[in-house]
Amino acid sequence: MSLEVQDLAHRHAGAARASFRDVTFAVRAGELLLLAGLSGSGKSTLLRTIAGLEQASSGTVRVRGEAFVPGDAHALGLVFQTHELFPHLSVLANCTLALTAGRNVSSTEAKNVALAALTELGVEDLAERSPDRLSHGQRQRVAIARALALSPQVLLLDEPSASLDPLARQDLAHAIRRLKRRGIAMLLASHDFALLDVADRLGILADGHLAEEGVTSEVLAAPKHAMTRSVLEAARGSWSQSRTPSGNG
Amino acid sequence: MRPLMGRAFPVAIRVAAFLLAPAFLCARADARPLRWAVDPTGGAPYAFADPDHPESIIGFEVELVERIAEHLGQRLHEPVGVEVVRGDYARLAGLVDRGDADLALNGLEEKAMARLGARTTPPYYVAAEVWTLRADGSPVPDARTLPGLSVGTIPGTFAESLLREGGAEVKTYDGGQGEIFDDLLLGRSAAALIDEPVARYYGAVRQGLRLAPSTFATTRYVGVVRGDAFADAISASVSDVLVSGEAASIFSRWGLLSKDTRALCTVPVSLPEPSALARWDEAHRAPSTAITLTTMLVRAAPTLARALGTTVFISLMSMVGAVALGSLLAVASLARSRVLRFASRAYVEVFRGTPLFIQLTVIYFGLPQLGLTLAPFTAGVLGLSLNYAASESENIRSGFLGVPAGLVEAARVLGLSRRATLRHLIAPLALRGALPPMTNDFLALLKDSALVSIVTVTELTRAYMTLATATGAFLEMGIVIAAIYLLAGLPFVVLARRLESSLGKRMRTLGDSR
Repeated sequence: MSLEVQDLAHRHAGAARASFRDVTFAVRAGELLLLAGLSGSGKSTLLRTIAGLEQASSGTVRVRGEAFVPGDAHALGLVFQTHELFPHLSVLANCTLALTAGRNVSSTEAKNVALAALTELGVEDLAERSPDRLSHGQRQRVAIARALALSPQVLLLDEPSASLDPLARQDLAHAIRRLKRRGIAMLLASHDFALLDVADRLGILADGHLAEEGVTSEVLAAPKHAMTRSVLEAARGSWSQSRTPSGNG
Repeated sequence: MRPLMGRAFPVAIRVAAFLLAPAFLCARADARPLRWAVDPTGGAPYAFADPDHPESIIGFEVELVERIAEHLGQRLHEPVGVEVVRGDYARLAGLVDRGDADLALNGLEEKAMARLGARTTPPYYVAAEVWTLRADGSPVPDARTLPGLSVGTIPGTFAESLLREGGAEVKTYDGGQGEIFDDLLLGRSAAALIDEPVARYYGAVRQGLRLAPSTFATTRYVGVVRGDAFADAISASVSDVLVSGEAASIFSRWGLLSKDTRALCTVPVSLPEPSALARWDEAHRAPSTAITLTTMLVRAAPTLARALGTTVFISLMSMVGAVALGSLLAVASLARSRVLRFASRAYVEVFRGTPLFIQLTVIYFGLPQLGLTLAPFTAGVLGLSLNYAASESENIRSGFLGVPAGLVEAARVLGLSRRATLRHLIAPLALRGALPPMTNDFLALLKDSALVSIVTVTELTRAYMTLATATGAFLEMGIVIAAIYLLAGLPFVVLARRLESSLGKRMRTLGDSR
């Protein structure tokens, strides 16, 4: 198993209720788990807790069988919904910084690795650009390339398709397939069911816990949980909405 | 950065040495200096910038002090050269007190100096307090008409206290002497009561003004010295100049040998014509012979260039100091320790909430009382640095707080250490955010540096006052000086813009992506 999450729970400081609790699941190499749930169901918090940005109140995160140490970008990468590209650095420098400043990789080597990652995502021609000159879709792929440059075992993506136009969504799905083929285990938080095509497994986060988790087709065919059905309905609604011409893209 | 600093530092020292090179009246390298505290902005006929050669100062007191230095040399059996220490009239005695000058001699009144408890030389001149009035025939004020009368004079003088005792409505003028008489001509005041030398050189030359023939009171001028053996020799030399008849000749040439002054000194049988007064009168009475602005500027150019250099140099040094100290304060304000946070906060509030002028005065004139006497330039730069550090700390602090938390989290997930995150992410972004307000502050500092003139450093504003009082061209010189300030700031604005864009483009688009 590339990623194993066991009994993970989190509570915001001062909050009466836990954001989520008893979350247990595993993702194999080359497998993608789509984590769905209503807005505010704690999908982002779960991803942030797994990555170590939020303190878990209990539970463990393992990568390839070993306890994950937050900041170990070779084990696990996180792509933020807001991308968080460093605005003062070029696209290439965004991708090389963690290698040169964090890992003591020579700048030539870092450049080669970063360019390879950018090429993988099809954005190598943007290498010298400043992040603020990129479209949302381009930023998304640069952010993935930045994580990819550190060759992580596991990649977490938070709402990767948010505010992407249909074409960029297709490109993203395409890129995700390639990453899966490279054997990267992926956890993707999204309520965009357009990404169901690339999801091997589907998890529903509702009411503070993982209400359902299993092979995508099985979950879709026979939702066991009442909450799952409402989540799926809401998600389908937003999906069809985003496909209408008036959708914000 | 380092090799540049390596080269820049000796250059900075050389620039400082050039700008701060003491002005010697007698260019004698081997001479013992007699450091003379004087305020050339006070104007004619005491000591003022020579309109023909604004780099040098002339006046009856300049000649007097040169003679005093000569006699001092004879007494000490070694050559003595006069070194000019420029200060503010109100603080000349303070310069002697803190050891920056050996002799303050610039129309300082005996009574005022006695009140300060200053050690003085024998009096060298008796000035009559005379009325200047409009020529339209307004009556000479007396004890009966004085109450409520609007009268102009110089602040802190005997004349002022006479007027206040008499119940007059006193209008004091800190700037050039010309303004007192401008206001009188314009009808903003009814009369001016002022020392005869001033009245003669600035009042009597004006069309439409006249001097009252009577003397209202008299006041005696003294020099201020320190309480040491050198001071005794200086005092003795003042007497030498009075007894030898040299003083009377000087007063006569400047048209200032009053009845009461004759009683103070030996008056030779043959006295020189009042040629210096005649020359002044000629230049000021006949506008047709007045020099053109171009000529004036060409003559003033060396003074202005040096003053501009001082202004820019002081501002740069102060800004470097302010940013360095401000960075420390900003770090302290963001520290976990409550003590550090409080200390930083307190510093910022104190230095931001009190006038820079007072801070500079305390540093220069106040600290010596605690045993810490700083060189004028050091005191000026220190004062400006301490003051501006408060604003810079705020700028840097908000620069740090302006770095989006999401970017720091991204760096954490990417495995960057705290140190690497600070260096590669937070510092450049904080600097980029702090740069625009810092540029604004530098422009303000460039102008605020004028306040260091109180610590005897001659920068642009003081040069303006000196030149304008000497030439009377307040408007023209004012426009020129304003233009110089404006142009001096421009390169730094451009530089800051460049730096800003090299640190990255706009922060705005970062907001778009959220």
